[in-house]
Amino acid sequence: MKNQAAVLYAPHDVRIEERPVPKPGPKEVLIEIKAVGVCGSDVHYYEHGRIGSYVVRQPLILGHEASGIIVDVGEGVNKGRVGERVAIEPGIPDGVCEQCRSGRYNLCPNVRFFGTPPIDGAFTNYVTIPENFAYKLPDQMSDEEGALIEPLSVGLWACRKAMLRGADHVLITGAGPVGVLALKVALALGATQITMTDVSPQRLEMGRKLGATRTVNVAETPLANVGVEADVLIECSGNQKALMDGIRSLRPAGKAVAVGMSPGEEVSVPMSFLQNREITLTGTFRYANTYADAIALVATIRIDLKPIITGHYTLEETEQALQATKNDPANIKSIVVPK
Amino acid sequence: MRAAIIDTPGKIRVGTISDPTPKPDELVIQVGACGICGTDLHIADGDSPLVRYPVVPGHELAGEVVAVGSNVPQTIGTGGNMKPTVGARVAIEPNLYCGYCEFCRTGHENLCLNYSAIGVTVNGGFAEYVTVPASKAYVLPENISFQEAALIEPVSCAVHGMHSLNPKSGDTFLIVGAGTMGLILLQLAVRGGASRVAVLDLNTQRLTRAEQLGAHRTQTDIHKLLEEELLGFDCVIDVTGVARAMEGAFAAVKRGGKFMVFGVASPEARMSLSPFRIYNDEITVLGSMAVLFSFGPALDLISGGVIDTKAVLTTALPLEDFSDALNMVRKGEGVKTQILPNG
Repeated sequence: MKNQAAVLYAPHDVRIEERPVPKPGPKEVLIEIKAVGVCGSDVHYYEHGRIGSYVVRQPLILGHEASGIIVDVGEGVNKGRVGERVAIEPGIPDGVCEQCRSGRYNLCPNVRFFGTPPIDGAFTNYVTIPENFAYKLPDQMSDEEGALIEPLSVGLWACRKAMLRGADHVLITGAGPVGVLALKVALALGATQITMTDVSPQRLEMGRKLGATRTVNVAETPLANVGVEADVLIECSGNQKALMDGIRSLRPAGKAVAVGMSPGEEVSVPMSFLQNREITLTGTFRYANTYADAIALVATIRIDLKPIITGHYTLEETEQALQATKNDPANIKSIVVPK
Repeated sequence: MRAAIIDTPGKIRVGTISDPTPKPDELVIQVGACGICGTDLHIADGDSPLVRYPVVPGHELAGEVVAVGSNVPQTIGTGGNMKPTVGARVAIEPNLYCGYCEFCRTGHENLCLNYSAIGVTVNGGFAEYVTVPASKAYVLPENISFQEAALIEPVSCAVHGMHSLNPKSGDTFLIVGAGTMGLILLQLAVRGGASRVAVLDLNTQRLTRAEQLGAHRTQTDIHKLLEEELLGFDCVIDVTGVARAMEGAFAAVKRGGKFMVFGVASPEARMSLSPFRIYNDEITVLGSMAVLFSFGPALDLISGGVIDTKAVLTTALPLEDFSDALNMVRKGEGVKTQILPNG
């Protein structure tokens, strides 16, 4: 067994190195990685070496949207799991803090999350993970779909926080990977009108293909001029104006969920609009308890992930995969397939 | 160490077994207090399918940490002072979840398919010492005694019940059964925004206690109660586990109201409800089982003085009197009976 890894040393400096094959500890499984999606946060670390207070201070393996096959198990794990194809939930909470013991393990302050400094991620051949964070994939799901359970979970969590109901009108601002996955979830949950905004005509075209009932290029037409009256806003761009205009497009008692990360620490919100209409505004941080349901939505073809996959790369080409989205906005989701 | 041991159903003794040693992620607790629950009677009688005999029962427990495994984290729970070190005073959440079944993975750990529990499937707190996973220990504030802390577990069951019931402020309540759980649910309802809370029980001594704890009406006969609350109650909670009592209580649910089964009936029991009423009056019927993300809130409710523990903690006995204590609980004497294994 050889374990190659794509290691980020500094912005724009990714090196392919051999690392030791990790040993599964008690209740852990060793997974041979089969597919890893490239996330905007991977690209951000690659470009800037940091996201807010998370700084790459030592060489780091990126990648957290991963699937693979169990090739070995640690003490206390059923040996029958060897050979099982799995999706990896990449954030391991401590399980003992107040947040974990309140059922909000995504808010655990001690979470160890793949590809977030200083925890190594999945652009590599082998990783270990506690067995209960490895979710069996049904045969009809591909390795690539398994990898995308992670970003799909982000969309599912956003729709759950929005308490999305059938026949809702949903406004999704930002038609990148998270936006289109939120779109797929919203459709699966019964939304009947979905308005998507972006500034890229290619991405809006993709949104229409995937089921958005209306798209608005906000570089040309301000959202306020369109007269959207949505029940739910899922903000996926991180753009301050998108959040402001999005909230102003909500009906009374609407729900606004801020998923996209804004470059600044603080943004303005239309406070009196929010008060007068009793609008609920919340952020989301990753997700909790979504994997089983996300897998079920894909396995039963309520959600088809295949059209979202726009590029394939080998492990040696990880750096090209990280550059792909920047070079062409039509690229939604690049997948690295280690051999 | 000394421990109360149930060798097989019906065979109960207090004897000597070897002292426990902690696994890497475990603590050894010197038990300060451990409450007797209806479940312990089921374990003694052999009608609890999960039990592996012989077993030391006891799942409502608190005590002092006397040994720490090699892999226990530095801090648990909230704040910097929550260190599970030797000498720390802790209460124990007894339910053990597998973490990988469908229910654990969707945030319903109390419905775990591989459910196990301290004092049910592994040795519990009716002993001088017990080992527990450190992740199940909650460090106690100074103002809570071990006896009060051993009440956190039943309070956390009631808190989960209230989370499931999700009442509105101003709702009217009927609580059927004024034992420990009924009296705790009563307090949560009264202090959680209920407008009027009625309590029904056949035992008038228990009703007196319910009145002292803030019940607005108490009754032994549900028909008399309905003469006073003509439209019934927004929230009706059965805490008896008796099917006939539940059928009677269902008649007291207001249109649009909720009926919660909290009491534990036997698996074979059946009750008869009117489907037409559920449809026509839009009645919600729900259940509540054990603890779910409610142990920390229960601890805070007790340390914050919201729960009157003195009204519930009526009896404390030494370990050697375990059999007598079980019999007291069986006869319904007092409210909560606890064992103090270390005097």
